[in-house]
Amino acid sequence: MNTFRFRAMNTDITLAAEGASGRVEQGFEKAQRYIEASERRFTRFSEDSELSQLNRSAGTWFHASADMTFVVSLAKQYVEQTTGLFNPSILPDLERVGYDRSMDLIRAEASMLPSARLAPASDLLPIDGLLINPDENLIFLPHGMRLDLGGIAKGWIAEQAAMVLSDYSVACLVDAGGDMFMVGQPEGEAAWQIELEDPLKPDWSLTSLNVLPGAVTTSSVVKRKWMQGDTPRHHLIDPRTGLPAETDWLSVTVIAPHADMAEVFAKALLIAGPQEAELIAHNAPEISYLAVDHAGMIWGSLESLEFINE
Amino acid sequence: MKLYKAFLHFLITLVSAFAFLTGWATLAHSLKPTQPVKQEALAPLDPLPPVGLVGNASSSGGLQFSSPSPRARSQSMFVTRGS
Repeated sequence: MNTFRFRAMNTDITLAAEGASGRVEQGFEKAQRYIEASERRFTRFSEDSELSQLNRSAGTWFHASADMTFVVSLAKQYVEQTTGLFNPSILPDLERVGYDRSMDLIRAEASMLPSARLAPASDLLPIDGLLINPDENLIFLPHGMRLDLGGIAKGWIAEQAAMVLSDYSVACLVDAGGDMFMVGQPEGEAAWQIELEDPLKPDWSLTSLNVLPGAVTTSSVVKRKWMQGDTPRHHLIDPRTGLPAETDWLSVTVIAPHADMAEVFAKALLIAGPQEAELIAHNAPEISYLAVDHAGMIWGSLESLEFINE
Repeated sequence: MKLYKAFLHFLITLVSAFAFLTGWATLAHSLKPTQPVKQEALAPLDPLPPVGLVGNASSSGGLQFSSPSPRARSQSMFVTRGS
């Protein structure tokens, strides 16, 4: 298996592929270019990105690219499917708690707004106000609504990049900082073997999973975190409170047919925690999930047992 | 009186003989204990989950698995971790 690593979307990207060496190298180059171009489209940290332009257009119809229209449509659909635990319009809350620049910059600067300046959370605007005309690639954001497509776009880009790479390989995998998508199967193997990282000890694994082609995504509250004054923060905003989610789980891993779905449900189930997770997962019968709590205990759906490699 | 007693004896004998023969005929036509039960009547059971993995079910229906033993990573080059 050939591998190629680089940094994009403020995370580590790994491309892996089996096939003729020259073709695979070509595929790596194409997939990297695709990821970098997509990052420029979907990032909220650049004033020139299409997403930033869309956010500035609130109150008027915005003529978007087909990719942007598609991802925003997916995002709106998932709001309903997760009963609102996933919501792309939490961007003002993310910025309010300090995630107003890329995580690389936050880590480098280490200084954040003091807690005393924290403004109260405002109610989210109803997602029904977000209108999409897919035939003409038009998107309408109501006044005051701004979107963060960080996670869902990362998953979607990972899957699209894997499809690009699959044209140059027999089997391939794209790992974009927690969002993995696999096409085909490694030679001689019945499934992809994926280790489940211990969120408390990053160099250790809790178990390994046997996964067929498709998506595996892990969402965690221990990676993208920072201090706001003397208050610890992480990047998973609970749309019900406008604050980083208080959850009994440290990480949730979702196995799903598509990476955007895996990403969204990993986030929603992590926010839901053990009391509500099964109710949310019930809305997406095609997913399986595993969660790790603060004691290192694994939770999950019954379907997830078939993926665990003892 | 004698005639009445004789009639009763005859009646009891007749009823007993009829009951005996009816029971005989019923048992003769019933399933014998050695006759096998048709297998298709039983639905196959779901396989049991691996022993040691399943712990408690949460109130919402999710499962709490037993605590795994973390191990140093060695088996796979691919790791799923939070971003």
